[in-house]
Parts: sequence; structure tokens; C-alpha cells
Amino acid sequence: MEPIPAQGITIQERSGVQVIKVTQDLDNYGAADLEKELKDLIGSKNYKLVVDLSKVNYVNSTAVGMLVGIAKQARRKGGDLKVCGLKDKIRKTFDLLGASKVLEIFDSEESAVNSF
Amino acid sequence: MVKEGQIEIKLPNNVAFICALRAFIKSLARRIGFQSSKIEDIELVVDELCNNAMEHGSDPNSPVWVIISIRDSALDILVRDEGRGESSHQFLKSLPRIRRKQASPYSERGHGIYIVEMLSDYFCFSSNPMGGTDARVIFYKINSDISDKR
Repeated sequence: MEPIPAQGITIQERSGVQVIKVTQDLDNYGAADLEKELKDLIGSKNYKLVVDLSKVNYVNSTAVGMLVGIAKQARRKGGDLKVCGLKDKIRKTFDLLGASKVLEIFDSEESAVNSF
Repeated sequence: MVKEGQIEIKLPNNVAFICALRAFIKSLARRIGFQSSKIEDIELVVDELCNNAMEHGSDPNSPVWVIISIRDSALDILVRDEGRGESSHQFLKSLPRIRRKQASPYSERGHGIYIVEMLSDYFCFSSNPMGGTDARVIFYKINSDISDKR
């Protein structure tokens, strides 16, 4: 039986890309939930990942660092982790940490999926 | 007008509870009259300091204290841990290295102190009598170019 993703996280496949929609705050607690889901996907050989943060109102450095870490794992396997839908305050945190230079960021889920 | 005062919060050493503190500090900062972008900065800095205190400071059974001093034109926030295996002395010695390490965006961890440094108007780390670390940050209501950060 397929495991159920954590509350605040839904996963759908689109054109061979796993789209992970997040609706909870990504503090350390939320980031741990998301990390587990992303690691499960990597473990199941899903290396094309789009994380939709359009409904997320908060991220901290732990969450951003976790996304960078997962992206590195996916890239080692020929895939990638891309993010989309950043609100201004979320983008500000990504920019502050330099993650905007490390991760590909898109306005929409569609553009992120199509970039693979 | 909000009068000056002090609020002490005792957080169990569990990151699950920090969301409540974030909501509280946002509401307080809004009531005091901080601008939205500054409130976001305050929320993030307090979160980062509490995470740091819980992970590296207090042992799992010791709380983290957050002492908020409300001043006429500023929020003065102290996050205090009670110390454990990694002593405050060791942490303070490693602070310059941590700050250098955080410069790389490819680094997955250790960015919290950098965020505190960049977003607060004043910050200071010091040892406390319990053997832990006090992390103090100040946010001024009026945008300033204060560069006296230690």
C-alpha cells in the first residue's frame, strides 16, 4: 500500500515529474515532514522533482538548506529539484541564503515541469 | 500606544512549539507598530535562534527561554539556553568559523547565525551563568543603518 504523505503535502505525477505541493509552514518541524517525503521519492528512483511553494507562507534556513541538499542528491542521479510559486517573502529568504543561485526557481508549476 | 514591559516565555525543547512563538512575536510586533517586512525578519530571526538553542544549546529536557523586552522604539529579544554537551564557550569559540561557513549557498546547514546577523539591527552572543548561551537581538522600529553588530 502506498504510504500517505504528511498532512500539508500532496504529491502528483505530471509528465514523469513528481510535483510536491506544500501547504504548511516550512519551519524545522514542517521541513522534516517534507524532507521525509522527498527522500522517499528519491529512494523510489524519482529524481525529477518540483516543489510547489505557492501556498507556503514561511520558510526558514533549515528548510531551504534541506531543499538544496535534496537537489544535490537528485542531480547526482541525473535529475533535479526545482521550486515554483515563491511568494515575495519566501523569495527574500531564498535570496538571502543564496539559494536562488543554486536552485532553479519558476513562477508556475507548469513552467517548472516543462523545464525537465 | 504600547507601554514598555517584559515578557518571559519558557519553551519546551521541541521545535514543534516554535510556531506558536512565531505567531506570538508577529502579533506583538504588529501591535507595537513594526512594518510588515520587519515583522517577517523578526519572525525568522527568532525562529533561527530558538532552533539553534534547541539543537546546540539546552539538553532535550531543559527549556529554552525567550525574554522579550518591549521598548518605546524597539524589540529587544533574548533567547537563552541552559547549556549541555556543547558548552557555550565552545559555541562562542566556533562562532567566527560558523559565520564563514555560512557564506556558501551550497551548504545545507548552518545558515541560522548568518540570517541573524543580516536581519537584526543588533545582535550579541554571550555565555550565561547556567553554562548556556544568551543570544540577544534588537530590532528598531525606524529603519536604521546601525552597523554596530557584534
